[in-house]
Amino acid sequence: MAKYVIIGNSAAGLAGVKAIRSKDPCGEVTIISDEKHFPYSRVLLTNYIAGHIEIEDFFLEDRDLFIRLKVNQLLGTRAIAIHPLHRTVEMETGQVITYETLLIATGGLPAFPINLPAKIKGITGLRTIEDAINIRQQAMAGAKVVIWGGGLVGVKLACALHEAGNSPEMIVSSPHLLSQVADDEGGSLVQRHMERHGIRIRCSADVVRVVQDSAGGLKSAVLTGGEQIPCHLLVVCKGVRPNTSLVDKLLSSSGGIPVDSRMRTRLPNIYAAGDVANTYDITRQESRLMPIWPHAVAQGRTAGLNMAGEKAQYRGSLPRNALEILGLPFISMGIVQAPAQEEWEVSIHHQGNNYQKLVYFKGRLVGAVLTNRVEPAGRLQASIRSAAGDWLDQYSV
Amino acid sequence: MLSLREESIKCDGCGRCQLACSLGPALRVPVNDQGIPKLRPPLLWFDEIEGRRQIFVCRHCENPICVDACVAGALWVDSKSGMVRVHQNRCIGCYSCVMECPFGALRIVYPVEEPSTNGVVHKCDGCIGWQAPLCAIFCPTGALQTAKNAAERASKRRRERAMFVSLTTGTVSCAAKKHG
Repeated sequence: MAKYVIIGNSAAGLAGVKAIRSKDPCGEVTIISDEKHFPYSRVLLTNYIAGHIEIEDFFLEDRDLFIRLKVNQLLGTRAIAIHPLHRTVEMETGQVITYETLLIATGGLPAFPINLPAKIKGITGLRTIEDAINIRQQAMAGAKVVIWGGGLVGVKLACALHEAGNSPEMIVSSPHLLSQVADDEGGSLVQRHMERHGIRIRCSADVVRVVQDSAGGLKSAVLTGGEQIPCHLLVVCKGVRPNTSLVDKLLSSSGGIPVDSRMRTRLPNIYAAGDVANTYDITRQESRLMPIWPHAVAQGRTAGLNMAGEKAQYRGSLPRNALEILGLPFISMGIVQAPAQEEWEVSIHHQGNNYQKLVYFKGRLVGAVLTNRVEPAGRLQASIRSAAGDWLDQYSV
Repeated sequence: MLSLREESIKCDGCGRCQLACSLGPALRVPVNDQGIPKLRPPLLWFDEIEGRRQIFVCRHCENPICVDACVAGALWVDSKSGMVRVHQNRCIGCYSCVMECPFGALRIVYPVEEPSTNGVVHKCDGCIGWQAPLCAIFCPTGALQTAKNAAERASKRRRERAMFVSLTTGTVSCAAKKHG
């Protein structure tokens, strides 16, 4: 009987388990996670902070899913090492689990800038249920919250706190919001929309250090120019880094674990999927990290099918994000900023909150930014994918 | 299961499909406190794209990418009927599914009475209990038709793929200005 082990129980791990079970009803499946919770959606954490949903709404499936699928659960214990030669996973409890195929779906961790002292009360990221509960509790108690980072999590958190009645302040190192996923104009449009709702955003600024009060709590954040912003809670939203600690000694994985189109790593019988995996970007034609939900699900399923003996191909990653920002829909995908070179062309339609930018490379659509009227997004994504079709041949580790 | 054939080129935009859809599978017209009829929003849409009329309606795909993209567990596949269904009470209106569907079959609709509240996704509910989808029954031009048997359903799948290709090439033209 085949032995499958999955490390990580979020989007990719869950999709992997379901895919394995769809092909192999009998094999022994074990899921390991250092989080004690049943699979939940991290994307919903800000909706909880906003007060739109309750904790039980986080969970993606019925609680008895793993029992129905006959999956051994090792939740709340950490795997500390993988031994590919012996095909074993070593747990922190000393337990050793053998596998025939292994899926690493350990996800990401909040990236913390090095200038911040670790473990100060009042400095946190936003990645887990516990983080969200902590932020919501403090916000409801009237804490002054400063959000450092103007990416997706930062923007969603600022909107959520605003909706919960808190007045957060954002510190953004780029000249405008969403600099990783939006072009200058789209990002600025989102920023103006948030500022109209009263959210304070400081761009081209960074936190250089923090000041503690006598009780050890957070007192203020000091910006690049020396300005001090009083705050009780500093939420660091500077992106995520891949959680590769299990394989760092086994392969070079600084930018995530490289995988091929069947989600195989360079290690025998070991697969990787989700935010930890480094996959092929069909628009940029290079492998990189693109930690978004639909990628994690598709990669998890691809890995699971291959682990169960199928020959499934992943269709390649297309970085994309959809957001609802205080009533303003925003969608971006692919390459959003065209270099000023001959082969690149850009088409922009902008009227009020309606903004549509299409980016072409050699006449092929490679990126789009839409706000307010976002209905064409699905069709545009299909166009980008079909234009990239002939590039997929280059996809290998 | 119910299956729909769509030929947008035959659509003249009369809107009967939307009206039939608004009645819902129960074919009832609810009234509000003042006795005014209040229909639900339609679950399919049509629009002109570059001079061609296009109907946007769910194909109930075999491998629906909208379900993969749903971060809230709101979209699901009903394995009995094969339909893509939605738990509207779980939807947070995040637009992830809107971003995925090449057929434009999902839209976030905000309640008319309270536009400030969160929108939720609307999509074809498959007319549970009917032999044919209501939009197809009421379509006078044949732009929407019911696939009657297995062979037709198979041909529908082929059409769907062909349709996908036609959607994914050509229709977005490169009317672009340099380095705008």
